[in-house]
Amino acid sequence: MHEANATFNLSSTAVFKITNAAGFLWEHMDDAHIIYDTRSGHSQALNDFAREIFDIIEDKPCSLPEILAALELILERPIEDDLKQQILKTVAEFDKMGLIEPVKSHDENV
Amino acid sequence: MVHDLLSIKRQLAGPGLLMGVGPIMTRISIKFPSVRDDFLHIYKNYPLYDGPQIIDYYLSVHAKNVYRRYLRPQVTINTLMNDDFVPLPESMGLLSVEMGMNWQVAFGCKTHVLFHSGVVEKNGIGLIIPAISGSGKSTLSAGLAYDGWRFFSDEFGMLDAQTGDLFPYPRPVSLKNESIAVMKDWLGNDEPFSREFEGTPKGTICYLRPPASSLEKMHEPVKPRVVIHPVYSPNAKSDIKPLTETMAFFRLVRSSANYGDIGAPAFRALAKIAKECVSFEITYSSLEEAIRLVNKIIDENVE
Repeated sequence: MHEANATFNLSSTAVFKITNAAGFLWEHMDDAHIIYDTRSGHSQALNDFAREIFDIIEDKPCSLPEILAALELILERPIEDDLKQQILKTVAEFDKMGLIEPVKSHDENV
Repeated sequence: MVHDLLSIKRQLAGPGLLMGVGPIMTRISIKFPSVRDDFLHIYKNYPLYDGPQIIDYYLSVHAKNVYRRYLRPQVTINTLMNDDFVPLPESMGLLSVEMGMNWQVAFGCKTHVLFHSGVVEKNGIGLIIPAISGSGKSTLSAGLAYDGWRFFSDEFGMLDAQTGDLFPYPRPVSLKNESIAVMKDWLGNDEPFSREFEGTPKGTICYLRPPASSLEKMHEPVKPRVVIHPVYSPNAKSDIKPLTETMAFFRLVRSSANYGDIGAPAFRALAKIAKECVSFEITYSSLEEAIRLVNKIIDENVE
């Protein structure tokens, strides 16, 4: 439990950036966006909402609160707890897939 | 081109016979006369070459030593690749030849995106039939080939990632168990079939030579237009299910043997197929029904 909380807190303070935007290829399908990572050779499907989150991080490295704030602006309403959990899960999935990585600050090189 | 049977047998027994199947040129050497006879029967009408050629693969079929040539004779193959095949009894030698050639293409081919699929063509419409073993893709591919379609392959779809063309690789169809009788009934003629090889790990296997008209056009590619994933179920009700582009894409990725090796061009090529072709899954319980479903899909979805 302590470990889980520590991980969550660490994620809250981290800034996420796209790992290697130049190495990603995109194809837009009828119901999803397919991303291909040229480094691993893996393909993943993102729905429109996940793609929006990815685009926010791609625009500039940002923390979880900043991602949520950016999405509130897009949706024009506060984000409810259920949706917040989905967003956090999506960001965690991006990290797991190697699409993003946590860094210490907004300076992309730190 | 080599035509004389005696010369063909000498080359096959000696330095090796050059055989071209679609874009692949293989030099094959077989030391066992009985295996040579099986091979020449099932590969009748295939183009054979002599003189300088660019050779893609070498396949040697021989006994491990002189004892295994005569004492419980066993066939060993050498593909000049990283193989370690279990020797088979001489009576199953043709299986070794086919296994070796499959191995060479599956693990050696980097010039084309490979699908584990059947491929056929009619009226310029390329049909890809990806499937896992046991789904009936070989039977369906063979059934279509002997029902007016041009046979490309029952095992390997070969796609040029740059042009988007499918290339024929019309090796003999590998039929297993119940599908052997189905295809013998379908053709009504045993001549294009090999002997039946019983007691293999996959049961009884029999090879079927593709129609001569398909072999004559083995260098003519086609654009893919339709993808059909067959599901054979003996008691199932027939069904046609459309696939979304995303589902179609990931099923193609799953069926490709070298998607990761070819990389970005394969990603682009498969995405193009997923977006530009119509993709369906069919469930069927007989060859006649499967062919009816294929024709229905073509009639209703392809101009």
